[in-house]
Amino acid sequence: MNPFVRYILWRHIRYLLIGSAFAFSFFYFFPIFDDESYFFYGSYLAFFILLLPLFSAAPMWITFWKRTSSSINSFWKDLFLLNGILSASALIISFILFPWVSAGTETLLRILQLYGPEEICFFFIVLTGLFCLDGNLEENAKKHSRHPIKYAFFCFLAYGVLAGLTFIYLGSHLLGFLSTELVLLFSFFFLLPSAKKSFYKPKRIYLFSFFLLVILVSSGLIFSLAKALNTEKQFVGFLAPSTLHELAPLEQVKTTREWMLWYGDGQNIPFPLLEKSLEKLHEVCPLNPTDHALNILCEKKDEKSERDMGLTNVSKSEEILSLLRSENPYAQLLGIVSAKTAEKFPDKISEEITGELKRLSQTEGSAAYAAYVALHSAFSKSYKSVRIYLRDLPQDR
Amino acid sequence: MFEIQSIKKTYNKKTVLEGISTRFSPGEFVALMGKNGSGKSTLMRLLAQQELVDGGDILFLEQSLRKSNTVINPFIAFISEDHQLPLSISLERWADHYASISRIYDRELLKRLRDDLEVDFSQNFHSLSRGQKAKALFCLLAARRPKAYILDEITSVLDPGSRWTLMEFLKREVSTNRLVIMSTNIASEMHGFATHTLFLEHGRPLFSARTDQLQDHFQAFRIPPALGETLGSGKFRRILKNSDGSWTYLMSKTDGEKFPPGALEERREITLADVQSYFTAKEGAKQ
Repeated sequence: MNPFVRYILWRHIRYLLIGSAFAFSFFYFFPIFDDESYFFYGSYLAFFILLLPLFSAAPMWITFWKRTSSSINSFWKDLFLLNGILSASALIISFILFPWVSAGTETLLRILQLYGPEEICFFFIVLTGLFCLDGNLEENAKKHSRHPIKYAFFCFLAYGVLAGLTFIYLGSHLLGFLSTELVLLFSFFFLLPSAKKSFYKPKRIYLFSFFLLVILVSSGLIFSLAKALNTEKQFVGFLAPSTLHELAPLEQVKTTREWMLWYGDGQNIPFPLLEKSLEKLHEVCPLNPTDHALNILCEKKDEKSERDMGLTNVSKSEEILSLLRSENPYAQLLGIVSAKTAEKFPDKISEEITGELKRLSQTEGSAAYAAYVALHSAFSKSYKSVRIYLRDLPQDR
Repeated sequence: MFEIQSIKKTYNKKTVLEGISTRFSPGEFVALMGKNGSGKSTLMRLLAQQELVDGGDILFLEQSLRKSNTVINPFIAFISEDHQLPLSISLERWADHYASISRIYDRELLKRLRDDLEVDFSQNFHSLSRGQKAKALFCLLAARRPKAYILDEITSVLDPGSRWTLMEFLKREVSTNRLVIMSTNIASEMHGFATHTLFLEHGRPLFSARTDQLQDHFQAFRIPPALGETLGSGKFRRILKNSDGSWTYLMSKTDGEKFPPGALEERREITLADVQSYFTAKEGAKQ
């Protein structure tokens, strides 16, 4: 390994450690970031602060290697290693910071469970491409700075294309990978200043054609293989919609933790299944009228909270009505929170929802009533979800 | 060492270099000169393989840089004004890093150069001034014992003492059969050092010669004060006003022109500064 790459790697591990310590203490000492919305912005900010030194150093590295590499191959190898390090760092920082946004104090391990190796691989490729483009744009900044609108347009286009690729990926893994590879291949050989300054056009066309062929042939092979093995829903699947994780049957869920994993894995749980899942939750973690309506504790209630997750609100009026009319207290609770935080409904449905809320408020002793009272007392904070705290559960770790 | 064969370079369809064919050999100290925007830096970047030519070819040690995958970084020391080192670490550590990627790294020479040029290697590169950075980079790269130095206007940021130290060192390097190509706008600093010169204008070669043969190409003459600034031809260019009020003009011998009436032949050494004044003077000093 190039001693510089090794050195960057080491320096970067230090950056990560210091940055993470800084981020932890930042959130610990500033309670304002307890609020979800601030949490999001704080994490986002920290993400870029941590990556900023690398972003700013990348163009200088490109110039440096261009002037010191002993061969074109070593230049490209070092360039990709640098961008690989950047991408890996971005992923690690995302894993460290973003779980706090989505699920409070979730761990890295939890995220690795949630996202499979294919997601990590995809985002790694996308980020590498992004950093390559960005570093090279910076390298060429003098040229572009004369045309700020052109530069801004190019950035917009680049980030737009990458966002589009992610969208395709969510539809189909194979198509996502294929289109990403093609876009990056084109970018590398026809847009990057580094490539333009390293290879003459005939060679760039030759390399582009060669890699294009490799990508198309390998994609075709994967497609055929998936069809032959009937594994469309797995990583090599072709047009099957991507699911972040296969949902285990709800019947197999036995503990709150299992339920949380199950619920967290399904990105778009259809509504009938949502109702069923809430029934299952009541089964594994019964809701009592004495529970705090918005922060429900499960299992060993006397110990310190380690994990929590939110029941996200729903927004369709008929689904909210269905939840409110349910006999399941979790469904009622979710219905109340959703009714209070959703967009304005048409007058007729709004009256109906108000009627259901009134009926619930008169049902003394129910968990939903407790929730309703608590909701009113804390309404100014406009909670957007019911939060379930999972306490120490040594048996299923 | 370098053979340039009718190279052409364009940026956004604008031609910045065209029709340059020349040869730079070991043991030469080439002064690359020309007005701002004449293509000096572009030519240097092309020689240092930082960019690719759009037409023609450059040979390095008889090998085509266009047709082969040769990378000449190990053989050259290329320093330009925009040269940066990407890490905020001390120069000592940079020297270690350079040593680790170089086949040869002359620590003794590095020590001597840094003492002569007064560069503090315990300092962080990014904390140095522009001039110190240029000197530091020179020390770091010279220790790699390159076959050719390609230096793009680095002396303009150096103090006179350091400039002479650097030039003396380069002269010694030339005597050991190394090639030095230096672009500059300060012709006087090349006097006594440059062995060859190449003038560019609008990306094209304007004049190329050995510096000890400038007499063969130019003739100086003087216009007495009584005649005033009467010369109107673009072939004769005013380069100097003397203390007695007379004007020194330079004319190209190749044009076959004769002295204008009243002019006196001036027997003096033609220097690079004179030639630079000739080429950068506005044509047709008509009054």
